[in-house]
Amino acid sequence: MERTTRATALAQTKATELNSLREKYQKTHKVIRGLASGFAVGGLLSTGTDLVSGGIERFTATAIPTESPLDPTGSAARGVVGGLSEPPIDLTGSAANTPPEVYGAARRAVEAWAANPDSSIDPETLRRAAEVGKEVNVQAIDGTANRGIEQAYKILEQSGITTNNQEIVQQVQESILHKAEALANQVAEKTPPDQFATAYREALMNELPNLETVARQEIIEKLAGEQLTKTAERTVSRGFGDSFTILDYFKEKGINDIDLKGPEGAKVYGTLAQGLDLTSGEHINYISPADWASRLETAYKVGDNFALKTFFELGGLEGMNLSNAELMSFLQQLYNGEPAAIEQLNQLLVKRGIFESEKINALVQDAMSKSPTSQLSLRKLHSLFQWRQPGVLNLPANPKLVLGYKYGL
Amino acid sequence: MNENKPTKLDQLIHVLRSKGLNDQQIQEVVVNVNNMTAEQLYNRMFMELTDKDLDYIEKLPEDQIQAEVVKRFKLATNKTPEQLADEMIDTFISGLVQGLEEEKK
Repeated sequence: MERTTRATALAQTKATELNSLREKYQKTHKVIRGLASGFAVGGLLSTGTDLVSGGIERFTATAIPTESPLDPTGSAARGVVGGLSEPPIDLTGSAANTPPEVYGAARRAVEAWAANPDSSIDPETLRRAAEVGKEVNVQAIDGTANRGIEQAYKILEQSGITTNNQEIVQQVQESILHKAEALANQVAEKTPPDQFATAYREALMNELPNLETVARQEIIEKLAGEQLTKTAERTVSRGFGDSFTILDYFKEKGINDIDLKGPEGAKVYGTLAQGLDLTSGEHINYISPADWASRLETAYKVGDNFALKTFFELGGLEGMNLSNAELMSFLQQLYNGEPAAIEQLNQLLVKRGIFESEKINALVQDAMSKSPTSQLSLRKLHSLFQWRQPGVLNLPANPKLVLGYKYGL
Repeated sequence: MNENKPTKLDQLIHVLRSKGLNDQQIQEVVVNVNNMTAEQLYNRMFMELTDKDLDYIEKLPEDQIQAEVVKRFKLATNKTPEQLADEMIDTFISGLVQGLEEEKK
């Protein structure tokens, strides 16, 4: 199909270009990756805009647990306890009962987002589409079709229905593309060329739930001859869950050398590592010296000698020969953002590569091995990076790390 | 951060919870929103910088790269990445709220 080919070519060109840039500018790529993740989280954690009209007052009165797996602020990791009135979050609930209208609305919101001039959709493409009237924004169509299919799969997957049949995926995708193209042509017939782009985007947004429904029905029909399975893998991949469960999963799969760039490996390291680039063993930019100071301070204040001991065992603050009182003072200086102390910690953590990759990887490997010491190794990893007991934390306190590792950003 | 005002994340969680999503589902949505924002930002930041910009930045010491990226991005777009992230998230959450309201009708 010509449009599909062109859309695919556009997407491939963009991806190729980005890959090329990444290869050529590796240092810059790494920094931009960190910046993007950081700003994304920062945006979510910012205030100032009443986005939920009329609901803020009610919302403010509704206590949102700050000491929960959903707390991305790291307050829990710092030992900050908010005023909670809700029970602990249940992460064992099934996703199968998600109100469908939420997905529909969310998808439309995504589409609105994609239609934003600041999105990746090329404004020039839209402009040209408006000029020629019947020209279709192939990027938008492709994106819409893919989103519709993606959502359909997601919903089916949540019901335990999965398939790896790429032929079916392609058939459904083409079917949805046809429908999106037909919609574009309908809009073009009724709309002056200079209004086409706006009208088409609105039509796409309105049509998205229908496209998803069609995709879902088609997938189910095409899967009729296949065995529908409820996979155990889903349980593993859905949540971060117990670290041992995930490690066991990898062991069963024969994956010994976890691929950090892969989504599954990322989840493990996102859960366990939280801040270390285990490919190099370096402390990475996502955790600031102040965050490290906060973690150390928390461990010190709560008397988590195991965590402190593990930190020192791996070389933390090696060579400083600080007494407890001096350590506390040093941590306080870091926490206050005193430049000299921050620089000192940077020297220790970054430039000297304080957590050597061999030591960290040895802990990870041992945790996976189910050797007599694997529990201890896992506990050390948790203590180092989470200051919590194994199994307590499901979503890492710092989601930007999850994102970085999960999605390779 | 203003401690007295709900963050955008608070608002997003509130909206999702009010629609009956459980915490696992909310977690997935939040992570996905974050990921989409980060992905868009990453792409925009890389693509807005010219080859000349990138050649220059890549040669800088690592501790100067971040500031230079932000500076040149702002010159190119007249926005900081932070502003762009804010706009993206505002658009998403507002769109979500509007969509949910429309679903009620």
